[in-house]
Amino acid sequence: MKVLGQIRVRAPREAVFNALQDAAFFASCIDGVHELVEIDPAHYNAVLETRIAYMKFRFKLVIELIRKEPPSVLEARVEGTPLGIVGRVTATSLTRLSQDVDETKIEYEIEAALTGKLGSLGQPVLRSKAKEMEKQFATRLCAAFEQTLSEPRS
Amino acid sequence: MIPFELLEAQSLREAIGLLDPEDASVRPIAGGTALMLMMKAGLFRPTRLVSLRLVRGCSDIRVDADGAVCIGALTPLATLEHSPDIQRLLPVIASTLRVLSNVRVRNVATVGGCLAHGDPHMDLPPVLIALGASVRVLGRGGERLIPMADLLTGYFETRLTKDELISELLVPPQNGRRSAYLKCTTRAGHDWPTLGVAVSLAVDGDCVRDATVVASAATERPMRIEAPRTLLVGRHPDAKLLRAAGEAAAIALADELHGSTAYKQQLVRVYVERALRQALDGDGGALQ
Repeated sequence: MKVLGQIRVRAPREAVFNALQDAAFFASCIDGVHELVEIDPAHYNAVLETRIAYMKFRFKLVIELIRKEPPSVLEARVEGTPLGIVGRVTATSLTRLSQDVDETKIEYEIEAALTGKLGSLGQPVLRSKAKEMEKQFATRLCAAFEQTLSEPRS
Repeated sequence: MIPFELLEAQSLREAIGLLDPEDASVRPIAGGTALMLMMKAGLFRPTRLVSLRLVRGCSDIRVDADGAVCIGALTPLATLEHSPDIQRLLPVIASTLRVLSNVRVRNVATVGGCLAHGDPHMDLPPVLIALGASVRVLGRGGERLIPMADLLTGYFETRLTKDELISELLVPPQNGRRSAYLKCTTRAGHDWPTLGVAVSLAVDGDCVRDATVVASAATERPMRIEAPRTLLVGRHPDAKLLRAAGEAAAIALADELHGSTAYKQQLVRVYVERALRQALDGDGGALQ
């Protein structure tokens, strides 16, 4: 399953890149991510709790940063093991940042695979969930930069 | 399986009282054909199930003097399929049910449960939208009517609150409207559809007076498509016009389809045309 998307943030590319590679900030933009633990600068563990209608899911995530080319490319591999269900989600996400006048264009491409019982939910359901999470992520990311821009400089 | 509480209500009112408006892990269960599969897969782990098995008086099919049909929410799908009233007044429902899953499921699954499940691949919702049906919903605050076109909002999502139950399905008199449902499945004919198309036409002489076209399964929820209606109304439905209606439907849905858009558009193009032709020919069957 491939998920493509684009987010625009009114901030310089370098600032956006720095924010995105800051794991704690990144996690704070995704609803339901907690227990983020840094193993080393390229490896993290976390827990994701999310809902699809009346179904609640809890995933143990292992995140590996596999490519970092400041200030334009970030590539990560994520492996999610759902708690209580047989299955696994593996995903590789490639993020490219480009400056567009006073905005940074974030283009991302996620290649995800589902195995086990999770697959019985079907790709369209998870694609719809991914789109919902993208909207939320974009809102929080933009809000964070708006806040930074509006803060008085000392 | 993680243990959960199972409560058996004697009435819909009692069942509503046992549901929790704040807790999504408390669910009503009727036939249980969909919910049990989700529980076995571990996708849904309830803390409490409120069984409607012992509720009486919600499984009748009643025909009003004007031809409107009221179907109790706990009516098994097989009862609906074999009802002489349904076969006479709403033959498209009877023919749709013949290709809806298998007889074992239809014997157990209920009308209300099937609609409240909110799966966009279900066969009945597009048909009921085309027929202009609505559901009567009972909750702590009283009852309300929800048009079928508004009931489903997304994957497994409906307008029902966590403590509301469907009590009745209401199908208005069809007054000679002609309907058909076609589904495209990739394996057996009774399988989950890749695309479902339901149409309902009002025809005066050789002219279309009104048309409703609904697509499901390939979209996030069943959707009415307006473009074919605009083309068809007021015109003689010849082969060229039906083809154009299929084309218009495919274009209108371009941004709503999941999977391969080109493939799904081709399915929409072909199946809308076929469903319209089938409705005009008076054969409302739900064949592939």
